Amino acid sequence: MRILENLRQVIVFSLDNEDYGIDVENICEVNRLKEINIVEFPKAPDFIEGIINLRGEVVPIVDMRKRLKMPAKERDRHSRIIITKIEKKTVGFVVDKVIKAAEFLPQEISTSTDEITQNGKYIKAIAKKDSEIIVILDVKEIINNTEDR
Amino acid sequence: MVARENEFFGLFVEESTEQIEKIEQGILKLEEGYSEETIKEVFRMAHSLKGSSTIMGFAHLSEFTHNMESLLEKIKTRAVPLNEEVIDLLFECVDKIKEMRDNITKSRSDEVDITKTCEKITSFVGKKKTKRCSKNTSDEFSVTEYELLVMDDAVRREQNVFIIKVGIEEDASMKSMKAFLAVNNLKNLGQVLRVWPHNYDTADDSELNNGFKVVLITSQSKEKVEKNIDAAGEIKSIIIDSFKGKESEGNNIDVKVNEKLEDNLLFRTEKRSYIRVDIAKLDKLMGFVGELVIDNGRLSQVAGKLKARFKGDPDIKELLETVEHVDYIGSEIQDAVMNVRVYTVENIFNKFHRMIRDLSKRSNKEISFITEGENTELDRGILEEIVDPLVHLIRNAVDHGIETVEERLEKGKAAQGTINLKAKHQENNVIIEISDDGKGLDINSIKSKALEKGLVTIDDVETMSDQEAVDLIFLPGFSTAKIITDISGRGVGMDVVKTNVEKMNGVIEIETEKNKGTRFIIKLPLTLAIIQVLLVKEGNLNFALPLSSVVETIRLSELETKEYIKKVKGKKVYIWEDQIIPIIRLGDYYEVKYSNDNSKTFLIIAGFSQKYVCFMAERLVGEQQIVIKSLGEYLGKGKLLGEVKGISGATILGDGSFAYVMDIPELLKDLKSAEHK
Repeated sequence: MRILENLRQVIVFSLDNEDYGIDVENICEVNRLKEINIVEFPKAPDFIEGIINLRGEVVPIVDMRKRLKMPAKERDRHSRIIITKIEKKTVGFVVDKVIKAAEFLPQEISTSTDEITQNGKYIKAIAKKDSEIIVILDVKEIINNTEDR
Repeated sequence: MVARENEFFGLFVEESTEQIEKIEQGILKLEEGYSEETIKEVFRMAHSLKGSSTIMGFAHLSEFTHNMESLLEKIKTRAVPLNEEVIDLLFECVDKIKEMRDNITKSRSDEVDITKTCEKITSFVGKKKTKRCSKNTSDEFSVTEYELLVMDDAVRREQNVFIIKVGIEEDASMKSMKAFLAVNNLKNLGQVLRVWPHNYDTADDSELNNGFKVVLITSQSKEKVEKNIDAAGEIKSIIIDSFKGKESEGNNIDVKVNEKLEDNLLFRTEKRSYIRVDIAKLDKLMGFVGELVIDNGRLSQVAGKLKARFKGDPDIKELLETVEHVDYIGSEIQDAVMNVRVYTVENIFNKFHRMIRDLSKRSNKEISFITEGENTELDRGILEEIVDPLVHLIRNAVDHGIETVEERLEKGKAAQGTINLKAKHQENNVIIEISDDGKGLDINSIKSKALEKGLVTIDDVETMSDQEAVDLIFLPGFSTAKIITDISGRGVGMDVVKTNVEKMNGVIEIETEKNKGTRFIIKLPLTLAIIQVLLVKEGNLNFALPLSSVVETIRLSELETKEYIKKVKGKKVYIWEDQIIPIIRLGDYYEVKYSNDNSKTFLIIAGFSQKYVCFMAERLVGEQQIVIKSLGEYLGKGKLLGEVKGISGATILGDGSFAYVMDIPELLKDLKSAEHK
């Protein structure tokens, strides 16, 4: 039981063939892209896909690839929107593919992100288990720290 | 426990604020002349304030209000004249009470230095009577005129009217219980018109030391009455007197009408009951109702489509009827909820009487303050937001508008200046006007001030119309006051007033004439939650323009387009009633793809204060009510969606699509700054 309490639960998804994760407590739901009508938002930054009507709530949608300055990719049947909620802000992120929910022990996670130069400030931690390496993103920073673009 | 205590505390603070306000309003009325009604009202408020502060354990406040009551009682009986000195003292009392209330709110302590004020009260009232519960010692009877009539009438109907004095054994415990039983027994015999003390059934034993008195109308005999009282037990004495009619000399008892103020008042508390609700709960309800109204619109649309498809189907008829009914209920609920949130402007207007009184006294000006349309209703949220702008405008009117008596006489004006505060409904808006008959705004001094502050250039000033010059006072950093006085505030400028009004989707305009006066006109929406908009479509996007800023919509034929739309310095302008108005193509401004069809052109003139802009879009959709969803969390510098000018929020339309709600004042500002660059 004691071990279970310390488990870190993460939703793992892929972007440009790499594995990324977002902590489960920040996630509301995951949606298929084709089921959702995204409306463009005028004059918004380029990483903004638009806004959606999520059961009466206005939710901005961010293209995670563009946000992290990765090469663009066409949407396909694997594309998903991960809806997150932090500090009253509900924001959706378009990702290439949602892989799984994973659990990590504290010793499998390193919070030192010094070695990563690109997007370093958007990374909360790195989880390593067996041969897997999963970069856990800091959604709060990604939403709030948009000055440098 | 703590939570409940806090809840009571919150209630206390809120209630006392209301009571203090009513006391203040009452005193303002008394300043105009003696009125028994008003004194009673003030007394009642002071009394309930005393009661609740005692319950909450604020002894100072309780004692102080008690002192104030004594003063009021003296005024009521004309033992103390209602002169300026006394009025000022009453205001001083209110200020002290406010101070205590503020201390209580801040630190839960009601300690405020009241010695001076109390000394002043004592000088009018006299020393005695600092302790309570001496009031029941009087042997006199007092009834209201109405009660006297009832008694008289009963005598004429050959009923017995008994005035009964009952003494209770001194060592009896729970005297109130005995009194209750005795009075209850009497009620079986006839009509108990009156009991002293009024709280006979809850009073402390000490208060019933002198027993209690009853006026009873009955067909029964004295003996029967005596028996019934005695049945309560531990009764020491019963004295029964007969009332023989008010003209009769046979009355061996002195009946005085309306002598004891306090007892009478306490009988007459209002019977309407209220509950207090957290405004956040109402906001939530309002939000849901908004959604409901919009969903109803969607339902009607679908039902209409189904009707076309399945004409003649009996279920369709029922569907349509139900949809119609739900729609009706929905709008009724909307009205009801809006009505709950609505307050009359009287609540805020009344505050200003006191303010003007103090301000004019301090600045040695004579001002008559006239309010109109106090019953105009406005959403509570707006009401709260509008107070500060009004305070500022009224202060300005006193400080800079109205001249001193000497100046006015020199100009051949009446010595007394007038400030008018008016509210009225106009379509979906509430108009609030503040006007004074003072010196008016000096256009030249405004211009030079704006130049001096570097807000405009010489060129600007020379080409500027008078109205444009007047509007300069709304620029940030502009203030005509040469010295910042205590009266006109602490550097808060007219720009803040304007911003506050615009935040509520309102509009402010100025009319001014030299030596005639100045008028500020504020136009506000009825509610913040639901706004009336004009929907237009450009490319794939819908835009919603608040109707409060839309002046006119125009459709031009190809020929007219050529005639009225010109190019000035490469920019399109529209010639409208001798004015040249810049044209903004929504698609260009917001970088949205649109199709250009020259055969028909839609124009929307928007703006205010002679500052107009003309929007051009592909299609006019129509007018609609919408619930605005704020995007404040996402919009702005450094935020997720960035700084997008001229959009204040989004709304979800009947068919589930979005419309962007435009912020026209903000957009005008953006255009202006782009021009300067």
